[in-house]
Amino acid sequence: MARRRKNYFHYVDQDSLSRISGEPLLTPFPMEGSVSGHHRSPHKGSSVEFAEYREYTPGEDPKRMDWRVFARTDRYYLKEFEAETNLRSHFALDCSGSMGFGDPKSKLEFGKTLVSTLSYLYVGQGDAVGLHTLRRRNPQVLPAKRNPSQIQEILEVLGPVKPKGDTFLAPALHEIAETVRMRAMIFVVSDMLDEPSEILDAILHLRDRKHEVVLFHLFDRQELEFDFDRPTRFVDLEGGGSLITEPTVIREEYLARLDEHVEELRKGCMESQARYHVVRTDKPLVDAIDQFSAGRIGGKAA
Amino acid sequence: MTFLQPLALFGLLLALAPIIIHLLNLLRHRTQAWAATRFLLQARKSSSRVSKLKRWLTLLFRVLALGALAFMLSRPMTGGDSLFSLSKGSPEALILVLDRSASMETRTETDPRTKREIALEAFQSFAKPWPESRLVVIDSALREPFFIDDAASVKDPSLSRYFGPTDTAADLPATLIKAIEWLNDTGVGTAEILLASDMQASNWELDGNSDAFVRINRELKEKEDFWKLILLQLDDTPPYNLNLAFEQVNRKPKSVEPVLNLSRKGTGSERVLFSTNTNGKPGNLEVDLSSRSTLWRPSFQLEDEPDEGWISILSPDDFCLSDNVGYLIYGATEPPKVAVRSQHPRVSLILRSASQTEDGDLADSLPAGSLDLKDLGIRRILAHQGKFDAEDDATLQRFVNSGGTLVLFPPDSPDSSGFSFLSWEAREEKKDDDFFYVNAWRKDSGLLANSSDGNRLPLDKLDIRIRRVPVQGEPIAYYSDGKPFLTSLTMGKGVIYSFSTLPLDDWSGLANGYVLVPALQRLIEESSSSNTFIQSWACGGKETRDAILTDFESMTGGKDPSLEAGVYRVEGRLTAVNRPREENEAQFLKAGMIGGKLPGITPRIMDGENVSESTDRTEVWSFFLILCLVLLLGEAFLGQPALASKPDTQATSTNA
Repeated sequence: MARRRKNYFHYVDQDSLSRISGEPLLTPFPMEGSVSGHHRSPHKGSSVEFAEYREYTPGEDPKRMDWRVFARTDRYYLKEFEAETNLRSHFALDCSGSMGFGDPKSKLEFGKTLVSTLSYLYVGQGDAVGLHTLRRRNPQVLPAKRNPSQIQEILEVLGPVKPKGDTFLAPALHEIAETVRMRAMIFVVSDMLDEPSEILDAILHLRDRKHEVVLFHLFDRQELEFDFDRPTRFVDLEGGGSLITEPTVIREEYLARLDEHVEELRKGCMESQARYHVVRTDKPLVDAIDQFSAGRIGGKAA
Repeated sequence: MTFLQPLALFGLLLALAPIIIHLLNLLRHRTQAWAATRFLLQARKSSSRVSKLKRWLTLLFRVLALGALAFMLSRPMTGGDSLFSLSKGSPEALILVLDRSASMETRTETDPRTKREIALEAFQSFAKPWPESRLVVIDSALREPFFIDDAASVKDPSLSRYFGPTDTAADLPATLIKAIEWLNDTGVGTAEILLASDMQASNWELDGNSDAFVRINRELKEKEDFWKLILLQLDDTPPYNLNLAFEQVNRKPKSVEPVLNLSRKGTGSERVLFSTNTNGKPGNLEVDLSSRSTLWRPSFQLEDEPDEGWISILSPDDFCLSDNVGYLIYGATEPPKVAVRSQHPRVSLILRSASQTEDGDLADSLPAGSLDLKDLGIRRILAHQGKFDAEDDATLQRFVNSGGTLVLFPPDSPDSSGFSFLSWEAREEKKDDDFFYVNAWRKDSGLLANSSDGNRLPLDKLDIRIRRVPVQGEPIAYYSDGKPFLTSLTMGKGVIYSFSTLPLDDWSGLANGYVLVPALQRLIEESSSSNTFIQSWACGGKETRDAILTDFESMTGGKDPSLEAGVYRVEGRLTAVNRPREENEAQFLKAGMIGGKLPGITPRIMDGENVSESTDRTEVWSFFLILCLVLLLGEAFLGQPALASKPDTQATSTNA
């Protein structure tokens, strides 16, 4: 008897789909795809988008020669068009123990929804989507595919994932940079609880490989506000022990450190032309999608 | 450091409350799973120095604030020069216990001020260093606390009722107790009690006030560190003083003949001119004062004067004005009606003869039969001897109760024991040459007092063979075996005198007259001098204090019979108010003798010219109040959040 498959389709946010539906999500960077698509390619191709005129060099295919220009100028010119190809997007979801924090929804659950929804959108516009679950042990990788069934594959991987282990973000991103050969769009969904410098190194590594990098930095409301008023024993979700402290005493310093961390990442991302989004998990997902899709919908991406 | 409310020190345990709450809070912490532990660790690490210091300082401030509060409530006392003392050791109250007796109006040759004025000025000087202290005056005349805002008020003429001269005596132990009671009632912490007195012995009565001194000693000993007693000794004696006092007033049909005791201190003029005033008519009388103490018997003719009136006698100014004047009143003369009732004819004759008037009229004789109250209605004195019946008993009681004087002699029949109100013992008789003798009697006053020239009555020469000793009454004279020879018994408004023997030859030598005649004549004279429509009171006595509650009219300008001597008409009765006789006494104590009566404490002794502050302890609760407030402010300041800007991460943000 065939094993009944679980339905994880609830991870695809319907509100976000309604908001974006019908409009392609574009990337400002040229992408190397295997088939024709909505995204700019670094190569010249046969699309309807005119690119430039170039003098004919003997040996080239005479079919691409513009005879009208020859008639007017008696010289041989080739008319070149923009190649439009599909996009390869890879979602890197942090699955460390710290991602299990959050109320009413953990950061991991929010991340799953975000990845699922964007995957659905990209597959829907013909782009290839891949998945990397970032953890020290047993990371899972789904190669990028444009097959519609890829959504189901992604959901099958995401659904059972539990937060566990310590953060393994920077090494995992380096690994992605090494393994993903073709230009792609790398989505990093994480709480970024790693050294900012290491994260930024990994991002630079990705950028060196011509990938577009988008960071979704997830925060729970309590992490941002830290509004505890009683002595509290904080137990580290990644096994780092516990800490008893008076939150009112350290609140200011905590928030300052948090702000420092965010600012460092923001600045590093700006320098390396990566996109950086701070996302609150208590807000609707569509807010994060809106932020991400601004300038990417419709015509050419900015 | 000592404490007025030491029980409040248990409140120091409250100071542990912040520590206990802190520990409890640590115990009742909640557990929170947390992701961003790295920021917590960083925050704690970087804030550990300042915030730890702030936290511990906050805890310390809370503990100290509660400790200061507990200290404040326990009302600590410390030395006046202590660092804790914010003020200059001000006692809560400064109390002047002021002797306002007549003798305090004495001056000295070098100082024109009276002792009372010196005392008031000394109090002013005494209070000057402590303007914050409450000022209270309790004087011997009113014995009520009087509060003043400014020490200079003691010189305010409009307050002379409270600080001015009086003609009263003083009971200083009672006045001091009043001050202590007030301190206790009002819960005063620290006080300086300045007792200003001329130390006249009669105002202290050291022997009679033992209980009062025990109480004063106990109370002041309990508050030894907080209530200080300072004796302001004003015992300078005047260089010259002449005081006059009425010893006796004899009313004659057309004159008044008072007997005055003139006492002189120091050297002065031997011939003294007294000013007199008879019902408002001035006059003068000159007296030759050859000795320090003289009995003076002036005579004031009253031919042109009303039947009832007053006379004042004023001696020339000296160093004490308050004892220079005396007032007397006189009423209509009415020869005393004396009657004699005896079964024995000879006794009747002897008694009638002994009680004859100045004009030689014998006393009336009442029949031995049934006694009618009508017969007694006009009588003032009844000498009675012999049998009686039950009706006589009741009649005589009514006579005495209404103000009559009854002189009783024992019945000669052995079967009669006496009246219901007075009885005699059985008859005792001496044989042969043996007699009963009288060896002790009251010589200073009464029927058997010495004569005005000091000669005593020859009671010890009286041979008594038969006696029947009266059972009731206060003995006036005693036999050698201790039994009473003569007793007096007050009943209602009258008096009963009871002799123990009869003026018969076989009973005693009483019939000789040298005892019986003076005794009866003094009774008659006393009766004629007294008049139910005139009265004489001591200034400051209970009668005068009651009088100010009723209608009274001053005849000599005095305003208050309880404070000023003079002649007043109180409820229609003419009343002479003179300063109490004890104020004429010239015996003064030394302040050390008062200190000797208060062994538990050591009162400071100062004189009027050398008054200084003495409080060496003061309450310092205000210091702890300020400390508590400062600590609470510090705690609030430490609890203020730093003005750091919150990170701009509240909403979704992005950068391109």
